Amino acid sequence: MVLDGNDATTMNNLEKHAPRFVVILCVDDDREALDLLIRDVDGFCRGLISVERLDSAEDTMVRAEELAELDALVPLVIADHNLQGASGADLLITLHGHPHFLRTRKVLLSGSSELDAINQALQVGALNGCMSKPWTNEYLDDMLSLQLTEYFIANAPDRIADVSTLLDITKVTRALAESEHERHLLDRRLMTVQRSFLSSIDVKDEDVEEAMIACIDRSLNKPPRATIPAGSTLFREGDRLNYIWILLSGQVQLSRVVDRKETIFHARTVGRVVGLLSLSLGRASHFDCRTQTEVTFIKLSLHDLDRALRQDPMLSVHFVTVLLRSLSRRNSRAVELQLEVNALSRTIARERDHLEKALDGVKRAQKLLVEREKMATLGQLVAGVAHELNNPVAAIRRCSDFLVEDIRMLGEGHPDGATMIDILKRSFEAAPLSTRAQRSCRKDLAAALGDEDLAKELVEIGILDRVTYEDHFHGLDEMAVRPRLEKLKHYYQLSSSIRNIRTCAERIQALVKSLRSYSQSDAEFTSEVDLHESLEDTILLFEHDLRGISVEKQYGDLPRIACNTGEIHQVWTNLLSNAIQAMGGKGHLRITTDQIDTGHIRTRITDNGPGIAPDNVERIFEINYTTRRGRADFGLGIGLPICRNIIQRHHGTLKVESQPGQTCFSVVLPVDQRKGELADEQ
Amino acid sequence: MSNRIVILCVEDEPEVRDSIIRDLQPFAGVFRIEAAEDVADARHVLQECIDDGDRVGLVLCDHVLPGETGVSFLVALNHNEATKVIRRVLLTGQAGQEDTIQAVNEGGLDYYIAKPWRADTLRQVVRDQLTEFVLEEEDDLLPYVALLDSKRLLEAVSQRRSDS
Repeated sequence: MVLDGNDATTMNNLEKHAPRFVVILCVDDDREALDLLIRDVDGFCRGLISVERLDSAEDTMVRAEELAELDALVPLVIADHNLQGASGADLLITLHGHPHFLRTRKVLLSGSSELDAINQALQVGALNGCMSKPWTNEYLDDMLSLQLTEYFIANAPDRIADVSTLLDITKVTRALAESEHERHLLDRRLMTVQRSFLSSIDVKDEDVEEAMIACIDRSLNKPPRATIPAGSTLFREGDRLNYIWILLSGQVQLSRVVDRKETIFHARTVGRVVGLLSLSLGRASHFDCRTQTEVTFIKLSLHDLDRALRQDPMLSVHFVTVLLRSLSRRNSRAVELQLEVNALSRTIARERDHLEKALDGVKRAQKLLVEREKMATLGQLVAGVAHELNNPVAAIRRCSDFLVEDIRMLGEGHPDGATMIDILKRSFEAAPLSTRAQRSCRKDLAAALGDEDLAKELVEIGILDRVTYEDHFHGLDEMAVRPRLEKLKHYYQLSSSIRNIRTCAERIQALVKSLRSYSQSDAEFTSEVDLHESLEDTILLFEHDLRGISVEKQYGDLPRIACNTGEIHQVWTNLLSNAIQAMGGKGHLRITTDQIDTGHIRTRITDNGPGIAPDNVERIFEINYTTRRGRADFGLGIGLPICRNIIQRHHGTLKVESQPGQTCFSVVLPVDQRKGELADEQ
Repeated sequence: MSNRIVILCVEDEPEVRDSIIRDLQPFAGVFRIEAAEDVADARHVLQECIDDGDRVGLVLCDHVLPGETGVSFLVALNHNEATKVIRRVLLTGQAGQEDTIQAVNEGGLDYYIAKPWRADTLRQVVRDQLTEFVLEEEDDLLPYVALLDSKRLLEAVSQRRSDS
């Protein structure tokens, strides 16, 4: 440590003349890129170092001459490689050839990798770094910090204090320690001292410390000791220090407030000398320094220290030894701290992972709960609505029957009663004709009667052929045909309206029934059910819809099982209805039953429809999911969820496998419900 | 009798179809009323009408049908020069917003009636749309004065006379 001034302030200003102008040059011919670069570099330098913008190689060289003339300190030049008419690498090589800029750090900025140019610049040693566009702030800051640190340590250590906040302080400290070390080794005045210094390596800490204190006492005529109690503050973070403290006994701690929490960085690793680093760097203290125990110390101003060092060369040795040892202890403490931080980070990362997983689980559970809650609410709502609908719809259904009865009764006394009742019966019994069939009948009848309009009206009231026509219009002259037709039309419309009311009421009833069973859970079980019978019952119901479909049955030998027949019936109904819909009314349906093991029987319903898209396979069991847009035949798209519910209540499984041209719904039921229950619990 | 204007009703449920057809009976004297149960059938009817020398003036169409949807049918009608002039009405309870928007934007939808409908509303819409159609397409408006919007038709008749 060199202290050649008489006053502490000389530490901050070792220059004999006015401080040299410090400037970083940024060169780019692209205005926008240059703006960006200037902004970022200036942002980093925070006014501690000037930043100048140059937009061509020529201008840069002109400015370089001026700066050389001014003897300005140019720690760094950043040049874009692609300059108009010149390459940035060439510019840096030229600058490198200028004695004033030999030590200047030079960084090449390139948009694309131009290896040749970079290589060339590297080979003549004109390049200290490369940076590619676009850069990140982090990258730029690291680069600037590195380059400036290297430059100032090597070329302008006296200016480090001015720009210390921009530099890599670990490096500076190390370099400083090294340079101090070197200076001492090289100091001729301390040739003798050097030997004792080297020999002090083997000496114990306490001995060196005592030797140092003895030297100080000798040189300064035993300076006064002070004793302060535990918990006193020697200095605070951010204080500018004018003294050093040499501890004789007791313990101090160096701490900082990090995130509003006091963190102790050094305690045992503080060493005997406190405050020297900040003092020598002319910088505000990094730490708070407080006493942990009662502490006795000697407080020296720089002036005192300087005096002592000059009076006794041996003090330098002891002093530096003590300092180096404490620095090295602090350094290893820093390493330890870093290791602790790393370990903590790992632990934290692990815990964060755990937490994330746990959070995921909670979210999933919550979603499930919400879904379940929604379903429960929906179920109550549906059951409520179904119940409310049930009465009016039952009344409508009954009324349609009453109307039929009344018409029959009226018909008996009516002169035209026989015809009326005949048309009523026909309307009720005949399956509705498709529009296509209607048109075809109309054509035939028109041909037979030679009157297209008459044929149309006849077909509309269900008179489809000449024979029926003759039945109704036999013997009527031409003038009487039309009034008769009008009358028959009203009979027919009356009948078909009643029929439509009844059909629609039945559909609503079926819908209500399937809605109600959706929320039903305490259904009754019947034992000894033959599944084949229930399948056959269902198939019978679908006779009408199965006309275009070939049905293949492969029934295995099944034991009778206990189940809720109504519910199982509903499952078959849904599965068959789905299959028929999927095949569009034409195709091949296979129904297979078998016993897969002693405890389970399986029913498979396979259609050769287009299949379910893989993305949709799981969704078909969700409420409100239906591939038939808007159709509400079997419960508003809740058919399959209902089925799954029912099968689950039977402790069975409902699965689907689908590929283009083949979709198979497979229902597995336990033979014995009690065993099924046990299996579910396990 | 030919060169009649046809009202085509596309509806797959027979009960609903019956009701619509019956609600349209007042138009039956002058117009030919046809029913189809799906879009394929509706196309047949279109062709049959052409074969008979008649032409479709109004399509009253449900959206949810087996096979092709009503909106898709309306869009197809709108994209064909020969059928573009047909007035198009959607009569449905199940078309979602997207379908309806498509029907308006691409199908040139003229009117939307939600199910359940009221007979007088349905008839008023049919009357207005057919009035538009005959004003656009017919030279002789007099046969339609009694059934359709007589005020507009008579105004048009006198306008045309003074023009010629």
